[in-house]
Amino acid sequence: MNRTFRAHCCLFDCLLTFQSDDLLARYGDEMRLVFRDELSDAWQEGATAIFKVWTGILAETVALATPRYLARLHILLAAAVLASGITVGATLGFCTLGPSPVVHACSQSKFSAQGSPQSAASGDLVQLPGGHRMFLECSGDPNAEPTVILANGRGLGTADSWALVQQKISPSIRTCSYDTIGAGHSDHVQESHSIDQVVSEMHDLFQAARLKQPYVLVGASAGGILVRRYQQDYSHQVAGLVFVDSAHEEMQWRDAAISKDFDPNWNNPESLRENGFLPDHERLTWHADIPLIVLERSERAPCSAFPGLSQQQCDAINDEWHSFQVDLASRSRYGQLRVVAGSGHRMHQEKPEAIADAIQDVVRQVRSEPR
Amino acid sequence: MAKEHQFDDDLLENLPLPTASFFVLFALAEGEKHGYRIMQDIRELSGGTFSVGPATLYTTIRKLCDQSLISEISSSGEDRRRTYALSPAGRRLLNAEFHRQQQLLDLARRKKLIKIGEQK
Repeated sequence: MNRTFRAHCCLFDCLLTFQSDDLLARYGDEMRLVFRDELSDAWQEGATAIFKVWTGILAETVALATPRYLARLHILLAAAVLASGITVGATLGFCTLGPSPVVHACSQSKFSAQGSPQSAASGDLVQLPGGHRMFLECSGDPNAEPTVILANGRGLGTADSWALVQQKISPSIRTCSYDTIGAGHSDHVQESHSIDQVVSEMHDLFQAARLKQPYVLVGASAGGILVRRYQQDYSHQVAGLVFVDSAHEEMQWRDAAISKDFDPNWNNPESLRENGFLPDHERLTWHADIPLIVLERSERAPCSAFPGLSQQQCDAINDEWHSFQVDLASRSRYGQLRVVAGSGHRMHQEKPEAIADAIQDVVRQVRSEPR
Repeated sequence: MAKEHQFDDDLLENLPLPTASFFVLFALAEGEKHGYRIMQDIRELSGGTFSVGPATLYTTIRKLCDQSLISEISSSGEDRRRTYALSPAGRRLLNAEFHRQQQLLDLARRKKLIKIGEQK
């Protein structure tokens, strides 16, 4: 039985190679262990159970692997078509391959590939002095200043969630997004991080990746608190801010005043310290006279988001959210509040162009100011 | 923010949850579990109507971990197995999904498409 059992396991290993490399790197060992457990149990029950296990595994291998292989096939086909096009074009004399002073009939991009301000987005793992690695993805002119940095809330979302925004920002602006520690391609750690640690990791990342100062920081949701904290700690590095439906440091206790059931942790010192919220009745004192745009959702949060709250309390929570945005816009004498029509909280997915416009406006203001 | 409790639209817009994600979160609602236990519990919770294989399970686990809806707890001792636990955001999302399903059931009852207590 042992030999047959091992043969089954080997077959499973072969099938695993059809799965994506990153899934295998992260969970390969565990998937093998799970298969072994499943097979052992089926072994006790007999041939039908073993057959059922294999049917399931073959079905999921086909279901998961097919889209990836189809995508690769598309790329291959596209490359083949492009290669044939260039070859035919070159043969017929419409364009030449390689550098040539002759005017080409084929359209050429405005910039050469090397050092191009339109350089494609590229992601890298950056080694931080503390030992962790963080994933950073930058696009646009590498020599441009200021550098725009897009920050998520501490745990939710990765650099990917900014992809639509990053695509819409002019290539003359250097824009970077990153996966926070514990998310996406960045290192995963078990212990929870206080907001101070997160801010210091941001600083380490920007230094290690040698991002050109000054920065324009863009913070979505809880990322707003993060970039305000960053500006407070490293004010000389930050020339402008954009808040994307940002959270507010006073929100825990102000929402608790509407309903204590809203978050039982509202005044838990550890939770407050971890997330950067202020304790009961403490006011935000932060102020920065730098270019600042606050983008606010136009769609109110649905009351179904707050089970247990009455309609009145739900309305009060929505009103409070609006007053947070008004308050944030008043924290700089250059502050502007823009309500983004048709947008909910996930503005970077729903209205990426509004965020790109705001970023470009802040960058323009920063560039026009002699520093 | 992982522990953000307000305006969880980031989470709510994930609804309705894909079946595999829903059952992984559901299985973890009782407490932390390793992969195979999650797989067994999914079969049990769904009354045998839904099951996942290792690749689907870990593709789902990876997605949920990346969204901070569940967290990995490192393996103890020589066992390479990790266990997984629901994060506060994952728990809220699961509750929101139940709430959504409840509303659908209520609607079906109001429209007299199913009777109260009827099991289908």
